[in-house]
Amino acid sequence: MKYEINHQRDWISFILMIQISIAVGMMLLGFIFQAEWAKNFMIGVGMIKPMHNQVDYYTYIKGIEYLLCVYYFMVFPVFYIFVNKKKQ
Amino acid sequence: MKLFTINKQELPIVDHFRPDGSKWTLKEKLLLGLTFQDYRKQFFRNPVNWVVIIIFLTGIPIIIERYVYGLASVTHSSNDYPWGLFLGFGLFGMVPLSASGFLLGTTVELFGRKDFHPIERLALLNGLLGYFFAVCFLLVDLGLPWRLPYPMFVSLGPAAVLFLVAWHVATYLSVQIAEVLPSFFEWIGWLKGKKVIRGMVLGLTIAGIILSTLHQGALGALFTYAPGKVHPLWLSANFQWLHFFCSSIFGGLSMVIVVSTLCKKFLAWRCDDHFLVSLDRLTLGLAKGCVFAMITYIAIKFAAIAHDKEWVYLLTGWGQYYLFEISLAVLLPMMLYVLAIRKGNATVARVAAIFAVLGILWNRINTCLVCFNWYMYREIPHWKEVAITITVYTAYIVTYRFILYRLPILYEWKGAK
Repeated sequence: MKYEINHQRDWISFILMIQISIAVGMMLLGFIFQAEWAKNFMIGVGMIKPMHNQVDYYTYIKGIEYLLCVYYFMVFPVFYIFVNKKKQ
Repeated sequence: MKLFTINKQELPIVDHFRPDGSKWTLKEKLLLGLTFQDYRKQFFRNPVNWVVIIIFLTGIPIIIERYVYGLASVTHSSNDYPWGLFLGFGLFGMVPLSASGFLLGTTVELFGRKDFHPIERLALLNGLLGYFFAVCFLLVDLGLPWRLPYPMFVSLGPAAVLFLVAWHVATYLSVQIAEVLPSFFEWIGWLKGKKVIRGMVLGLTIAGIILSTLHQGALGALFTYAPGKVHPLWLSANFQWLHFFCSSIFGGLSMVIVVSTLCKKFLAWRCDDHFLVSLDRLTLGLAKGCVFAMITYIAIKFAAIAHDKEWVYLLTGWGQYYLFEISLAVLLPMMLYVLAIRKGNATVARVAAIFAVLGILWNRINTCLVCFNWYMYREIPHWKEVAITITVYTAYIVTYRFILYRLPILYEWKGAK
């Protein structure tokens, strides 16, 4: 079976993949070089904060963990299309 | 062997009969159709065999020493570091790389993807041998092999994860032997046995899925025995089983890509045209399975960090090491796989597979050794432990090669089947 590239890009998936790559790349670079802004970012969005009780904990869980899952459910179909495209 | 296959028309053996109509005997099949003198000649001509001989001459006396004088004479294992290379590499590393058996079995037998048939037997054999030698590593670590039935039959511990792992590995090993047996029956010409196994193939495949899924996860669950010892980034009580299971999917598939590449390169004389022609397409198909497992694995990894609220660890040196592992062992091969699929380039997928396989081993060794007791000293394995590990792994490679040379794994048996 032969695969060929179709140069007519799907711009939406392309731009989304670029955004994800930049975001992941910046995160990795930030963490790897222990940049101050990475720490400030995590404090700013509530990833690092003291937990006083279980309500705090569950509020946090429902916030970040659910957002991560929703983001994954959005990214996976786009990624699936991105990988499977251009096959003829 | 390649020289003989060029010069002799009847070689390699793919049928019960020679071109002149006479039958190959079992001894001739074992000697690959050569005379004993020719077989010995080709054995010593191969430089790999000399390396194997040197490894065995060094390693076997050390294994004997381990059984005579005990584990302490060959390892630095202690109560602080109970799982050394034997389990970190041999058990926790080899089992995920052997997930190929149930993955390809499911793909072909259950999902009906018959286009993956040329590589199915190789995947099943890879699974069988991986599990078998993982048990060998376990036996070297445990010692007293005659006590092996105790945790399974005599002193039962149904509440323990180890009890589950012991039973699952034993039953799954039996299932895998049954799945590989049809090739053996074809080779010896006992078609009745093959028919019996073929009748059970659906049940065996489903049993394989259940057992493999459960114990791949159970191996991860073993680490919840030591929640205070493993670094929090490598341990998530709620997600650990899922990490191990999900990583075994791309680990197993990548291992098949690596092994099939080695076969194409070094065992081309044994492969039939069907296998060689379809290998690039199959490699890209397996690569697709890998990328979807990898993106899911990354998502679960970060969900686990969020769940356990461990972001702060990412800003430490351990966090850098963790991200380094994720980047090099998962992100990089995933990107390479995507590139390979989009470009239709199987060579790039093969490079990605090497990264993925080494990445799985690295992750398991990190969890077992490097990040175990992360706030204490690091255990450096004894040189004899390394030597035994290399020896057992060499035995794995030699057995693998012995079977591939003979059984119809890389080729279709031409005779009655």
